[in-house]
Amino acid sequence: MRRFIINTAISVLFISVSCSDETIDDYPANFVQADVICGDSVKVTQFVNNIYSYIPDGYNRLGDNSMVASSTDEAVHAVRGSAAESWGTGSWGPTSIPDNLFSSCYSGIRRTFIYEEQIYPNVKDNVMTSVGRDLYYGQVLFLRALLNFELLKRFGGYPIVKKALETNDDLNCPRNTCDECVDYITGLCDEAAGLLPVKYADNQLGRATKGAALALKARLLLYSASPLFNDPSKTSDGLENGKYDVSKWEKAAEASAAVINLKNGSASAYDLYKSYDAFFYTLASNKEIILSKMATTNNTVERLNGPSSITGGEGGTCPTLDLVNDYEMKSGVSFDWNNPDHAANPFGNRDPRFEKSILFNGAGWMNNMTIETYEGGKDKTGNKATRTSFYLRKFLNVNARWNAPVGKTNHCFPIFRYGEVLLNYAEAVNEAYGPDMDPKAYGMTARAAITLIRGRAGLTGNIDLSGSVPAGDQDLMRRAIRHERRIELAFEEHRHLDLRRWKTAEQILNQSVFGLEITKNTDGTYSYAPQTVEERVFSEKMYLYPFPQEEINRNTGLIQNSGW
Amino acid sequence: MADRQQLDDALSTGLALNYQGIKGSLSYRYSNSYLLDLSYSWQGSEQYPKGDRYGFFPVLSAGWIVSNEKSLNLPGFVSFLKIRASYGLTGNHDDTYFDYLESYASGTGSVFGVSPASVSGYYQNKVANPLLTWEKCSKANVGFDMDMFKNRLTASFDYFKEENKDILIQNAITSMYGATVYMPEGKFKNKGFEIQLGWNDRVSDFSYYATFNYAVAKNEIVNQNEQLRNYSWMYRTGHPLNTRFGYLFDRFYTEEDDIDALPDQSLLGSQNPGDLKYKDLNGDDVIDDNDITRIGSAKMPEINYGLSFGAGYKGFDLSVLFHGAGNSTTYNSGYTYWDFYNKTGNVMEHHLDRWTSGSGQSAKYPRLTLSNTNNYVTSSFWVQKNSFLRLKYIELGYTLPATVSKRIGMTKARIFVNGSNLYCRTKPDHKDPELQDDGLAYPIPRVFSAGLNLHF
Repeated sequence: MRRFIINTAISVLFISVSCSDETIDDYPANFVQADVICGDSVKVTQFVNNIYSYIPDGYNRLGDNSMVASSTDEAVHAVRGSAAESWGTGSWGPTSIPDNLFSSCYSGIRRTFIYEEQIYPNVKDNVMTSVGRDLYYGQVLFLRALLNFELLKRFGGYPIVKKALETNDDLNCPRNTCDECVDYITGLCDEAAGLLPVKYADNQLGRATKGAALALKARLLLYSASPLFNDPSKTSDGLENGKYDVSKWEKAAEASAAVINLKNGSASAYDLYKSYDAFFYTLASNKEIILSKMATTNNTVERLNGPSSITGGEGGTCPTLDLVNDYEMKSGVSFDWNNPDHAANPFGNRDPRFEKSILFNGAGWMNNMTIETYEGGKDKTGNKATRTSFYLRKFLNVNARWNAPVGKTNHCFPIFRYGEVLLNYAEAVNEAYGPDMDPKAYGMTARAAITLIRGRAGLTGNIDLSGSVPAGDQDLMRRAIRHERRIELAFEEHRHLDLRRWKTAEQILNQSVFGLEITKNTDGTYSYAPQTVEERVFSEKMYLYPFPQEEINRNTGLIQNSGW
Repeated sequence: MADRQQLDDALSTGLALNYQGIKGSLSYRYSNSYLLDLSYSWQGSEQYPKGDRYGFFPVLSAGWIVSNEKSLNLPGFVSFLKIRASYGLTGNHDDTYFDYLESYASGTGSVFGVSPASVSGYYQNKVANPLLTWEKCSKANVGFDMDMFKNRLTASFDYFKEENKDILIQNAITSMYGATVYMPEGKFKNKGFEIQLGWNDRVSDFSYYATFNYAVAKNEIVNQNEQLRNYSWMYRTGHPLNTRFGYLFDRFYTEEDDIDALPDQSLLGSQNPGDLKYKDLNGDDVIDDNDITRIGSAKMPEINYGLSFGAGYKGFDLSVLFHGAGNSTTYNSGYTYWDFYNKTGNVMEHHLDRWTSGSGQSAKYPRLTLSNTNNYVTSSFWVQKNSFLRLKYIELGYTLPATVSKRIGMTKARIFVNGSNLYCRTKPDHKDPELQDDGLAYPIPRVFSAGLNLHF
């Protein structure tokens, strides 16, 4: 046996000391904890104020200061290569979504749950009365409903998050079905409506009201009744559509009627504002506003859509000839280039909303200028000039100035307005009961709602559509209502969603959009020729947005919409 | 032994970072041939949530002194040979500050009122993150040490492999979570080897030595939860840390080009003959972010080597040190390289080789312009190899014989001259290779000194 010379040294050094966690337990004093907020009514209010910042912006909110409208048949963006152009021409997908609010919606939703879980239950009576607490809780519920709806309208069924998630929760959240989402948001709207007031003090305009919650529910139910989500061939509820149910139109009509019949004391809570154009920059005594994205006075919208002849004017949103052609004559007949009277004076005697929405060659504008968009005209030259010969007029205030002396005016983008509710109502009631029926005694037929819209617009003939929609003709009334939405709600971020939910986008958003080439003749008259300005590409998969690819990668429960 | 540490960051207003833990070690020797060492630390930091504050970090190393094994009959010239290996786990402390706690702060507000007025907001600015814990680094090492020819030749070799994991990276989870969160999911690798050779000898009065070392280290980002990219060449993951990304230089535009017919580079500015044309990697006829890829090798040198030698003869002594580096690139830019930089810079000698009409592709520099966004976007054109060999230090001395120094009342007297940074062979010739990209900052100075060392 081998002999080992053992020459071993072992040294062990173990000193155990008490090392309980408590011995290192500092806490930074500047880390404000929830209890500080709960003990201070100002901070509770501020917490809710912060969530309002998640209400999506309107106007030129897409990349390169382009408008959603510039991706549809309403407009093109003046400068090439904008996010809206990519969207409209079909260059978008899971890795580039021009209108990507996915992450921002969930961030906002998280904050509503932080409020519900950590703030709301811990505010003591001596800090804020239960009435005050419920008032803010109602607003938070409304904001949660709105942000959920923003997801639904883009993606169809989406993963509903019902708490402030924690990192050790299962974050592979699966999508809910369409009807589950609609039911969930409807419940939030109902709960919020029960807590919210019809009206706030003037200095609180912009907070969610009962009417806002009801208007959200009305639009939600209208969307859920529409062909995209309520397709007769789909007999079961799914991720991309709900279960077909013709009575969804009735629910939508009922929800819109609830807004129309909402009372503030004995008076109606809402009414159409007297002036179509001034509505957009008037806040005081404006009963048409249901909810707007509030902003301090500015001239940004004017500048970003300003004619190129004004220093700093960005051109921005250039209305298409297609939209221009859709404005009726003031008398209520359709405009027609083949009609010599119409063609001789194409921008005169039109639906008064035309000149309140669109700046055309010869129109008067700020600083007493006249728009010149004929070839070689001052507003048709420069690298930011209009590509269609039209500029945006809607939303803009002629008194705003971005050059000295600077003038700022109100621009609070309408999230919900009474005009839209009337159109929602007309559409739902017509689908449910036809143009001239009011079996549930809501107090108004579809035709009557449209008449209100056309009456305020200032049309002098065919206000009640009696000349074009025979009594009881549901199909013609549908066409008229869709036309009315296109005109009344132009540039207000409805068109791209309306064409989707009607399932008409594959036809309408699949053809080139036009501008007008205007030539000034030597005798001072003008010649007009339509001109293709941009292609529009829309394939079936685009009815719903794709989920962002990185979200698909990170969440195995998230199933991509079909076709993407 | 127990250990408590408080690191105070003098620059910040934050609380000091507190650590505590215990350490221990265990050594085992057997027969003078086998060595085994185990040390560990049980380290705690209050920056991590309770329950995850402590990390256990052991290091195990083993050695075998082969030359002590009489039975192995190593060749006679080998006087010492030791083979060793180690494996250890260490913990890095991420740059977190009480991130396991939630907190609230004032933030974005809103606007309300018929006369719209801004109001303040308050929000949860930090979400409690219970997943925080020590970033772990495993290090494995094998190598040997060897003395030969009566210790005149020494050699050692090491191969190492390191892997850092649980590095905190942002947003590794779905945005349905609704807030920014860091997850311990990042991963980073580093591996390489190191050789060291030394020789020293004496021939009667003449002694001399030389040592040479050579080290190669390559690192790679394994996972950093990179955003989704459209093309494989755009990914940063899989490359060394801080690798540069930019457009690939294709050629100069020339007068013969119909620029409008070439891939559209207008996103980068306007193009004229003499400007840089970049490669259209995805072939979509547009030069944009999709054509950005890795340019140049690593920023930090992957190869480092050094040579030192010296000699002594009857009171004279000489020592010399060279240092070199390779496999790295620099990015020529700014005042030291670009023309009319920022409209206040100079033109320099290398601008004589600029593109001019007729110079085609033979130019070394684009046409000169006062401002030109196209040429100065980050591109491979400005990347240059950055290898260098520097004579870092040389010293010659003479020590008076002891008998002489004693006579003048000193125990030792030495006179010397030395110089540092005397010579540098390098690729970029307009700036010091060890400086930042734009060459601004003082270069390493060349220093000469002469002196006397007197000991009384």
